[in-house]
Amino acid sequence: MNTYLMKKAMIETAVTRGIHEMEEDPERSVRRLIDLGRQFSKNRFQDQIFSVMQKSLTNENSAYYDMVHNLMKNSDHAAMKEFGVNFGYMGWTYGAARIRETEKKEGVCIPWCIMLRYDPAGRNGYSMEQLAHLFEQGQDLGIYVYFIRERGTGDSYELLELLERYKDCAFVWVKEDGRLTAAQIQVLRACRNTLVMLPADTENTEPLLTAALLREQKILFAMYASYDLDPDEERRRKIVENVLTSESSLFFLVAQDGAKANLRQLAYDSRLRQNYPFVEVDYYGDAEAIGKIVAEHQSLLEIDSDGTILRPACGGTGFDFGIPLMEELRNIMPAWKAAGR
Amino acid sequence: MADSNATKNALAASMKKLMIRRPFEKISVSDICNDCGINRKSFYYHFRDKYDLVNWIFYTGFVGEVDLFSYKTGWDLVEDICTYFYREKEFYRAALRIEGQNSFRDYLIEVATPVVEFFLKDVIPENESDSVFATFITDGFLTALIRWLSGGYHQEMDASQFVAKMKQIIVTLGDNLHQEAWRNTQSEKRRPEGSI
Repeated sequence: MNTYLMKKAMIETAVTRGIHEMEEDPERSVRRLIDLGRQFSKNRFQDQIFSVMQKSLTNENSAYYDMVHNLMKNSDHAAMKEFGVNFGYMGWTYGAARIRETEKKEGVCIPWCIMLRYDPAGRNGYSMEQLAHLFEQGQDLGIYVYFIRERGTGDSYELLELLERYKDCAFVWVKEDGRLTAAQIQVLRACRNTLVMLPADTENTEPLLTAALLREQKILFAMYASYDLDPDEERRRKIVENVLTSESSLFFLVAQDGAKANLRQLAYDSRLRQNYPFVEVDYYGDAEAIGKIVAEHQSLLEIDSDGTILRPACGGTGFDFGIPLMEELRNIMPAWKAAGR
Repeated sequence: MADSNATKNALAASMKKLMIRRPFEKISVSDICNDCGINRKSFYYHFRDKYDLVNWIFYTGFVGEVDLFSYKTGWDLVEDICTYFYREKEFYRAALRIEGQNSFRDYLIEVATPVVEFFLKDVIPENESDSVFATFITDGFLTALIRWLSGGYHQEMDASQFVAKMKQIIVTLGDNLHQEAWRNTQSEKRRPEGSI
């Protein structure tokens, strides 16, 4: 009896039940989910987060209820379950436990997720084979979540076919050009472990058309905007309008390289005010915050499309795909220190 | 507004108390609210109806009880469930008697079936996806559970003893069936070809 599979089966049963209850009774179900989170909080920090969420939901006009409606209406429930279990259980619980164990043993920080920038046309970029190797070794260490920012125009579905193979992983595929072909959409329908991210900060209408197609096909997607400085009101208004039109439940704020924007505060304030039917997430800031909870450190690993390491800052060094991942992490990640030391 | 969990726990405590005293059908939402001094609006804020409350009591009680990461086998899980039911046996004896749509029995079957199917996956041949197997096992377990919680086995058994008995029956039956199948196979091999 494989106990890991047994536990996963039980989590999946609970999630299926939760989704079923959300279909029947969305408002009460989402409140109960938050209540459950608070009831089983492991520390004061978690208790505080759930307490704020509980308070938010006492407002009957909270836009978050509309968000839940949109999510249930626009997403394939099996995909919600698969992606959710992979991201939440495999990434934050099962994987995180393995990460913490290895960190203690090896004395080096292991990221809870790996962020990649990918250019399908890039000559100096990494290959599908190298990516596959990275995912396999990542899973061995407990890393089950991957963010892939694809720049340029990529029509091939080679990447999607690769992602589909890793059934325990969750992938966030950032499509910077906001375009998807019919063939890519068809492959995505089978790729339930992948959430597509489309740009909301563009005059181009293509991302919104793509969002409409994904909605129709009930494929998981989110919107994002990239920022250098804090956005002015007019720019923010146009971006929010695009996100509202898309009916996305998640909106990511992505800091540009060297950005001075205070996105963490922007995302936090928005989540508290709950004016909109979507949750704003600070792409880097919230990833760091999650890392602090699940892996006991904030260090992220991000690799550019030509293999240069962007995070942690390594002075332009390239990521060595040719050596075991654990060895490369020892070379580039900070030393691990026990929490509370 | 009071902490949601405190309100729900108060409603749950009243429901449990009332269910020990009288049949579920004779308990109204007003009875529950009057018992704990919480208004009906608050009740409906949290629960659809009294059936929903009973199912919630089980769900949160069960989630609080299980420690998924400590289990080595499925039997560990079964024993934890039974320990929980035994500790709250007066309530669950009454809950398992509830009839009608959205009954606790139906809820438990719905929750248990995917878990049973998971365990059967390694036992039932791959091309057999008949839900009769999972339903048969779930029905059997539920009937045994109700009888045990109601004292129907005419001997006091705590949860470990009850689970040990179930395991013994299943393993013994499985063993016997396996031996019989083996004997039949041997017998077929020894029979001369063409004989009846």
